Amino acid sequence: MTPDEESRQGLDASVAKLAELAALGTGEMSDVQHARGLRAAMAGFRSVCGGAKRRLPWRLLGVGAATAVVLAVWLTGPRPWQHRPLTFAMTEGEVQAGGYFRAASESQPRLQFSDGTRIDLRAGARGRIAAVDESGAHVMIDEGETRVRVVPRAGARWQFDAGPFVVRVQGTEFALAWRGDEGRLDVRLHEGALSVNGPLSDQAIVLHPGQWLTVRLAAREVFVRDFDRSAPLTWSGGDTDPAAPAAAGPVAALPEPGLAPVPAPAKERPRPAARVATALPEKPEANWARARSEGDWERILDLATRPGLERTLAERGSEDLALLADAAHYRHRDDIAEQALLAQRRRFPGTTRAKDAAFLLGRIVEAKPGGAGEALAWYDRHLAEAPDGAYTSEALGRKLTVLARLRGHEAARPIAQEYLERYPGGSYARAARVFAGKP
Amino acid sequence: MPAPDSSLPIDFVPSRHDAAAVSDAALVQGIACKQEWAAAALWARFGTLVYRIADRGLGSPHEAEDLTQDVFLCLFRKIGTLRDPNALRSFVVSVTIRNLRWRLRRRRVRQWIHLTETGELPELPARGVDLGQALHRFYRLLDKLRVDDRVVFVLRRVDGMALKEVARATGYSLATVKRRLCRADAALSRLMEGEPVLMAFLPGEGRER
Repeated sequence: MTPDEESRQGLDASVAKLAELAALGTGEMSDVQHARGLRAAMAGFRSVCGGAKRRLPWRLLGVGAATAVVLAVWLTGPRPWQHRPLTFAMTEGEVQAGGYFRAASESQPRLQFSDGTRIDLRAGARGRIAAVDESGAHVMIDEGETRVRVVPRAGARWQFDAGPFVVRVQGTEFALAWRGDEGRLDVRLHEGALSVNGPLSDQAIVLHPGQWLTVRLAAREVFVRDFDRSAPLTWSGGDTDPAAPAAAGPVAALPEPGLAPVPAPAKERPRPAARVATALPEKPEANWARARSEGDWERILDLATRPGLERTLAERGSEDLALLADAAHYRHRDDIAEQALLAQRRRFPGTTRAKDAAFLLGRIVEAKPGGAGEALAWYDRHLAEAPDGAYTSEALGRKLTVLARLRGHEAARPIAQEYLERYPGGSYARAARVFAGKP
Repeated sequence: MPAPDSSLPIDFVPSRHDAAAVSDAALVQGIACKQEWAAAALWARFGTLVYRIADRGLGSPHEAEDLTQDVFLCLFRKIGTLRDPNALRSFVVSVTIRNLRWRLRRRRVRQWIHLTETGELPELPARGVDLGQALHRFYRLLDKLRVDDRVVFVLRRVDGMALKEVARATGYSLATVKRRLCRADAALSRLMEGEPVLMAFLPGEGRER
């Protein structure tokens, strides 16, 4: 009696048979999964090590100081059992299904969150609350101006998307305006600190209190200047130009057509505007390269979808399409992975990646209900195009199992024999021996 | 914190085969010292094992890949707490099972909600039931077991672990493992009686013990 048989001794015969089938049909990690898992594990390891490095300074504190900090956090911070998503409500309006909100033309509603954070919407502003958790929320501003006050607290994490820009904050007060038709972003930071990521700069732009960032996409211009923050944060500009800067003095001298300076009682003299960058070269390559080297799947998906997926699929190179397919598959976005692989085959026919894409497409469609037949066609295509490719053994193994499922063990037998001849120690050898009747 | 093993170059990344040449103690030490070769070697040595348990426990390759990554993140964080580096394999298995239980419990809640929407599992067609469908249906039966009973059943009956090994991995006594296994066996036998289509798939299987 084999150990496997021994482990199923005394079991109902039908259950034992199913347990045996489960042992045969599950648990084998393919080479592709192994390689993908290694990449992801290494990215995880780096993030764990990075987190440990950030914690290092705490170890330098004495026990007394550490205790004091723990007590302070205990008394003022969120309790462990309070890890519940924030709740929110909207005055003068209602957040629609899917998190969509819009400020009517005559109103200035407020989104009030349970941690005290508030977002005031200027008339006409609209957007969406994409996600809320215990740390904060992900808010997308589709159009218009908002004034935001994020209550500072440990672990707070808030993200505001405005067009292609991402503003990340912890605890701060700022005004954010996005005019989609002009491609113009304005961020005025009153308190705290925030960072802005987006096109025209491959580095995050970090703002300090009293700084005003303006980005105009069409002109490829980025400006940072000072504004008077001694007064409460108000809506910017007049009705005709809600995003116009309220700073006085040298700002008015900026060569900014359409940016009408609005006189404001400046209690402290603003420094001259700093033109951070004009006509910055677009450097998406650096972003892709960094995301690639860090195995940061989310960032790769973000980079691919930010300018529009169709554009990415039409413009990115073969390597990035392969990377996008990997990232999307790993993040369970097989819809995107499939498009990336199809683009790979369409745009780079005859290349190794295009041939590999046939196999990977097979894996994706095989997982769909009723997709086994289509998967079989992709595996056959890959086997014909790449008889000695990196995925050939995998493709033959998958073909074997799909055939067995679709047409029974008899149909799978010749493929099983071929598999055993070519890959006697392969991942599917055990299954192949069963189908070939060679225990 | 142990000092790094100077006999191993920092950029040494072992393959699935030569990872075996590194001792468990050196692996633990390397990870504690944040050396990437050690993380790669840990994956090379235990990635397949963790995935196997995850896939057999969950019955879903997608979820198994996710769970495997969760387990490795846990291992990278917690491996420094391992008192006896020679017990690395047991440690890896126990972390895997802890994560598996947690995921099954979470999934059970979701599944309960799903099942109340659709009533019972849909009947499979009398013809054309294949291995993949049979396995799918078998795992849906496992979903009806208590999570702890299911884990014991999978480790023993599917993965073929010895009873003592199951006890060590799950943290139960041997008697508890036997009791849970007995309960899972009986429940599955009972559930199979309501699965004539699945029974028909098993060629030549009667109901004899």
